[in-house]
Amino acid sequence: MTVSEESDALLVHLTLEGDQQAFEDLVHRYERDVFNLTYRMLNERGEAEDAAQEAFLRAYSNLERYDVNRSFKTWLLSIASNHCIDRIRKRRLTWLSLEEPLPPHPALTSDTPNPEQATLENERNVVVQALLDNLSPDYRLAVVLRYWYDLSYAEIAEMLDTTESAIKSRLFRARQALAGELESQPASVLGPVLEGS
Amino acid sequence: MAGDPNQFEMFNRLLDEELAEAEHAALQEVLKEDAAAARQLAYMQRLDRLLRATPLASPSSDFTRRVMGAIAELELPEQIRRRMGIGIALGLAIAAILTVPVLSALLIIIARTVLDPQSLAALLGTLSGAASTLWGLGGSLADALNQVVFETPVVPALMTTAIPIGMVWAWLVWYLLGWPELLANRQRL
Repeated sequence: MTVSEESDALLVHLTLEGDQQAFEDLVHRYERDVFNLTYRMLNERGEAEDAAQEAFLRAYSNLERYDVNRSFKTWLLSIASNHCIDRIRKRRLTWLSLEEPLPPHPALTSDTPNPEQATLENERNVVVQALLDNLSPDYRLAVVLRYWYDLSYAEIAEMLDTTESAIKSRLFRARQALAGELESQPASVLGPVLEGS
Repeated sequence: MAGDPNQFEMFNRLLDEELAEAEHAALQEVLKEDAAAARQLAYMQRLDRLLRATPLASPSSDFTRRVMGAIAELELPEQIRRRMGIGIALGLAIAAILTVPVLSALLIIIARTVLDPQSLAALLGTLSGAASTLWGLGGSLADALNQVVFETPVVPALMTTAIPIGMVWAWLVWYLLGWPELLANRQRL
């Protein structure tokens, strides 16, 4: 067990004893991980924030069932993954109302101080999200968990309740499909995005 | 190579940097002769670099505060549920402890009463007396109500007004206590 996992277990214990600050620390520690997963899966900031919040609420309500021998982060991510899959299944075609305020440009909310780098990151983000959007939810989830969380095949398989070979196959097919999509993009779009990577 | 069933295993392992040096060299030899597979692998490697270079997305700055706010809204029904759970468990434990002696005492009393003719007659007499008293009370109450309603017509009018007003008040109290929101939160979970 790592230092971070030990500290997670302590915070979970304190939360179960009624210490709200302890859970706030856990939310603060993992908000970026959970939000990134919901955002990569749902591809819409507002919905992704709602889904991330829901994942934390579910974790809080089911904290008594959490097995301290498992990684808290992996447990939290599996709750968020399941919730995203449910949301995608229930998703209906919705129209963006013109009266609704548009979300701010990601470059404006980015942590990156350099505006040029923020713009490049934003462009890269747009390309990545467009690529991910073409994948089925199962394939997308395998890619997200592998690339952004560096989870092993065994960990992903355990989270998604499937076998390691199924995850390997899913990831290869997803990589193959994404590479095909990348190949079909015009060089003018991909040039600056790929240069920085 | 493009149709090779082992291709995905080799490409995946290459991208995951798990190929041994000898396997890597062998793959390079094969790719030299298979332009389509080499091209596909090149795009997969570009994709791999692109994904690895894309950082985690961040939520808005007040995200933690909003989550904690939502949790605070959940707290009340959660506490009630926990207290109810403890109450039910205690009640069941007490009921389980009391069941055997209370049931035994009841059975003994019933058996003694049924087997003793004098006690049985006294019990039946008491029961019939109580029944006739209740019947008399009910009749008197009905007479009194009948008199009030027919002699003072304002009473039915007041009652028909009081019922909808009472319902409106009950809804208002329910709404102001925040129960609709709490129910919605519970359903969301």
